[in-house]
Amino acid sequence: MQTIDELLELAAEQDPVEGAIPFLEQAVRLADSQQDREAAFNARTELVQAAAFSGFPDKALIHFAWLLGTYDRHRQQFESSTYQIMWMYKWILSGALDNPAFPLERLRKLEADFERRTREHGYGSHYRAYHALMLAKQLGDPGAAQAAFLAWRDLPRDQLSDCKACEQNKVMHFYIWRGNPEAAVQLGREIIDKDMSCHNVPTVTYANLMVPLVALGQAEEARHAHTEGLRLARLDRNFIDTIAEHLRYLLLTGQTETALPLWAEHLDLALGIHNSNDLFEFLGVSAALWHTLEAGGGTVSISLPRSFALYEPAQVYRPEVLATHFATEAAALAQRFDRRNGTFRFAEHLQETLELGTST
Amino acid sequence: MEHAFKVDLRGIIDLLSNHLYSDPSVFLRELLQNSVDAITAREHRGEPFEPSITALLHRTEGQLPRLEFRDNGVGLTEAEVHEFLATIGRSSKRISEARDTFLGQFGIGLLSCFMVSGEIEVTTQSAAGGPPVRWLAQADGTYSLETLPLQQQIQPGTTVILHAREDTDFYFDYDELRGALLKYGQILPYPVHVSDGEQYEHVNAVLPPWLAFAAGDSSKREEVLAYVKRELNLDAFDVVALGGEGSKVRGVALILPYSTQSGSRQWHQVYLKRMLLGNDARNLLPDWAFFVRCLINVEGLRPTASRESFYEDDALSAARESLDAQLRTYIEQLAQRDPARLEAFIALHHLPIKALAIENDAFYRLLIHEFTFETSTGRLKLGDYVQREHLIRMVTNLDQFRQIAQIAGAYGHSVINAVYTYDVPLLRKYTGIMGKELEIVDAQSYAMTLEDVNTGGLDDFLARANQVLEALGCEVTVKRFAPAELPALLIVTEEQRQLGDIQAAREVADELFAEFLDEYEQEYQLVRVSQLHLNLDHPLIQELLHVQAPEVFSRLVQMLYVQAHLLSHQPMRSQELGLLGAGLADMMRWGIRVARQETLN
Repeated sequence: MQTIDELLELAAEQDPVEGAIPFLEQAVRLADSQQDREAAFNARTELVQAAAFSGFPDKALIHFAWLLGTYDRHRQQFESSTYQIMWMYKWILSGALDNPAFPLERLRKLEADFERRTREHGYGSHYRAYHALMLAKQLGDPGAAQAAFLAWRDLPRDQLSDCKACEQNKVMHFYIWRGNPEAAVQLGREIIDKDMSCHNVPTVTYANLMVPLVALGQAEEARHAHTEGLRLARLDRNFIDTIAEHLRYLLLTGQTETALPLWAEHLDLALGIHNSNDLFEFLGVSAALWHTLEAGGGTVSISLPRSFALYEPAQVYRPEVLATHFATEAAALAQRFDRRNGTFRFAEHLQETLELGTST
Repeated sequence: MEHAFKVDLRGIIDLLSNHLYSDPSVFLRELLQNSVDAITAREHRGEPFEPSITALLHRTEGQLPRLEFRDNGVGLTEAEVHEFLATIGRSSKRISEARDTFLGQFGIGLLSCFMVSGEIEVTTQSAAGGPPVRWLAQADGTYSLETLPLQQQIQPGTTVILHAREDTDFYFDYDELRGALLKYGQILPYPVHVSDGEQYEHVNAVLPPWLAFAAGDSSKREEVLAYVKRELNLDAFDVVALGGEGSKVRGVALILPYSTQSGSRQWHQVYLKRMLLGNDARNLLPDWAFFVRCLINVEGLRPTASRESFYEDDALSAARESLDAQLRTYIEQLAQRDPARLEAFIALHHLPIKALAIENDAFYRLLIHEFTFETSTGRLKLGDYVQREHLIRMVTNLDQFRQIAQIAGAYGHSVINAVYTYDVPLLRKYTGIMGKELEIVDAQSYAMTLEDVNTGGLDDFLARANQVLEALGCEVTVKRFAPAELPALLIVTEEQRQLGDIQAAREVADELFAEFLDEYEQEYQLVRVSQLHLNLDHPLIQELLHVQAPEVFSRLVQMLYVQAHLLSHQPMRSQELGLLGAGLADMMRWGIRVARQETLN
C-alpha cells in the first residue's frame, strides 16, 4: 500500500494527465480514511484538474463539490486556496453545460452561485460574460450570442479571465461559429506565429483552423494545421472533440483512407468519455465516416476495440450497420441536448455532419 | 568637442543593463563580438594581416582597475562613428534592428559596457585611412568626439577602455576575465589574448575536440568524451555528431548518463558564428530531446535582440527538423548496430524515447517491442509479451490490477499494469500500428469470464449469504476458478468507489451542489454493488454449503469477505475493521470452546 505522497508523485509523472486520475482517486480515498482534511483537500485539487482536462467532468464536479463545501465550512483553514477554488469553478461551470442531464434552471443557479462567490473577491465577471456566450452558442441563438460576445469583449479582463492564448482562441471560435472564416484564420495564424500557448492552445487552434482554411482554398496550410494539430492531440481523451474535428477535415477533403485508422485508434477513448458534448461530436463524424465507407460497397476489415458494442472477433464490419449505429447513438444524444435546451440545434448540427458523408 | 546624445541613450543603456541581458558579464561577449566583426570586415578588404584580439587589465594600487580591449580589425572613420550613433538612436525602440547592421551592432555592443563602467573610451583607426578618432562617452548620456593627429604608423584597429565602478570591480579580475573570454571565445577562429602585466594566456590556443568530431573526424570520439568529462564534469553515455558537410548547424549531442524528466531543460553551449550565444537551445532542439546536452555552432540563424536565443523562423524550423532527424537516426542505428547498448540507452532515457514513439509511427515500430512493462507475470519487454499472449490485456488502475492479478495467472493470462508514464498511450497505439488486439480489462468484466456454476441447488445458500453482506452493498456468487487455493475473490467496481466519493462530497456540499450529486448518484446506483465470488473448487467453500447454524454461517461469510477484501488491497473501512475484530473474537471463542470440550472428553 502506498502513502498519499507516493500516490501524488506517481500521479505527477503521468502524461496525458488522465493517467493521474486513478492515483489521485486512491490518494483522496486514503486521505479520507485517515481523516486528513488537508491532504484530502490537496489531492482533490489535483484530481479536479486532471478530471476536467481528460473528459471526466463528472469526477471533476463530484470532487469539486467536496472542495467547495469543505472550503465553506473551514474558511480559515483554506482561505489561501480561494483563488484556486474559484479558478476551478470555471471548469465546473463549462463542464456542467455539456451534460444534458442537468436542466437549464439548475445551470442558471450554478452561474448565479459562481457570480455571487467570485464578485466577493472582485473578479469573475469577465469569465461569467464569456460563459453567457458559450450558453448562447449551445442554444444556437445568434442574436444572444452576438450580444454576449460584445458584452464579454466590453468588460475589462480580471484575475479570473482565461489566459490571452485561450481568449484569442475563443474569439476565433466565435468567428467560425458565425461564419467568418477569414477573421478566424487571421486570429488563428497569429496564435501560431506568436507561439501563444496554454493547456489547450495551440492544439485546438490547429484543429479550428482546418475547416476555415479549406473554405478559403488554403489547402496546403490546412494540411499543415492537420499534421501539427494531430501530433499534439493524438491519444489524449481531453482532445476527443479535436480529433473529431480532424476527422471532419479528412472527410471534407476526401481522405477517408487516412480517417479510418485515426478513427479506430480513438474509438475506445471516445466511447469511455464522460463529456456528452465531446462524445456527440465524435459519434456524429463516426456516422459520417461509415456512411462514406458505405459508398465503397462490401465490408471493411479493421481492428476495433472490444469495448465497442458491435465488436466482431473476426474484425470485419459492414459499413451500413456501423453508420446506422452511430447515427442512432448521435441522434439520441442530440435529442437529449435539444430537449434540455428547448431547441433543435444539436439535431441540425448532426444533420450537417452526416451530410459530410454523402457529399463525397 | 562636446556632444549631447540626440536621442535618449540613457533609455537604451537602461534597457540593455536591466532588461535585455541576463548577466552583466555579457559586456565581454559584446566587446568580443565587435572585435570579431571588425576583423572579419577587414579580412573582406583583402589585405593581408595577422588578426588578433587582446584584453589588457591595468591595476594600480589604490585605484579601480581599467580594462583595455584591443583588436586590429577594420576600425572606424569619424563619419562611421557618427553613423553608428545615429543608427542606435534611430532604432532606440528596436535593438534587434540596430543589430542588423555592422555599425548598429557595434554601437549596441559598446553601450552594453555601461553595465559595468561609468565611462567608455574608444580610440579607433580605420583601415580605409583618415585620422584616428577618439570617442569618450559618459553614462549620463554625454560624449565627446575628436580626431587625433594623423599618424602613418598607427595600425588599423579599435581600442576600448573601460573603468570599473566600485560596484563592478569584481568583473575586472584577471581570472574572471580569462574565464569569460574562454567561455565566449573558446572556438573563435582568431587568437584571443589576455594579460594583466604579470600573467598572460592565449585563450583559444587549443580548439576543443568536438569541433573536429562534428566535422566528421570520428576518431576523436574518445577525446571528446574525455574532454566533456574533464571540462563539463559529464560522464556522457555517448556522443552524437550533429550537422556534417554544408550544414548551418554543427556540433555534438552528449547523451546524458542519468535519467531526466519530460520537459526538463538542459544546459547547452550554443555558439553563433563560433561565438558563445548562450546556454538555451530550447527552440533549436526538438521537444523530446531532453536527454541530451549539446555543444553546437550555428552559422545561419538570426539571434534575438538579447542574443541569447534564436528567432522562430523558417531557417530555425529547418535546423530543428534536421537535428530531430539526426538524433532519431542515432537511435535507429543503435537498434541495428548494438542491441545491448540500445537496451542500456532505453533504460536510462525511456521517457523521451516513449514520448517520441507516441508522436512518430516509424519510430514506434522500431522500438515498441524494446520497452519493458510491468505485468502480472513480472516485468517483460513488450516484444516477449506479444509472443506469448494472443491479446494484449491492460489494466489502467493499480487497484484493479491487484484484483485481477490474483487470478489472471491461474488462467495463463498475463495482464499489463499500465500505470506508468506513457504506458497507456503506447499500448493504445499498438493495435493500429502493429495489428494485435488490445483489451482494456477491468476487474468486473474479467470476473465475468469466470466459470459459472449451475446454481439451481444453491438458491437457498445464496439467499442466506447475500443477506449477510447486504448492508455492505456486496452481492455473492458461486463460481469455479483458479487458483483453487483462493476461496473467494472480491471485485469492487469503479462505480462503487465513486458512490463513496459522492457520499463524501454529499456530507459537506451545499444545497445547490447536492442536486448535482444526487443526479450522479442515481446514475451510478444502477451499477452499484461489489461482488464476492466464492470459489467452489476450494474445499472450505464446499463445506460452507452445508453449514446451517446461522451464527456460524454469517461469521464465515463475513470472514471470507474480509479476507478477500484484504487480498484485493482495498482500504479497510470501519465496517470491515469491525467485522474483522468481531469475527476473530468469535473464532477464538469457538476454538477455545472446542479445545475445552476435547479436554473434557
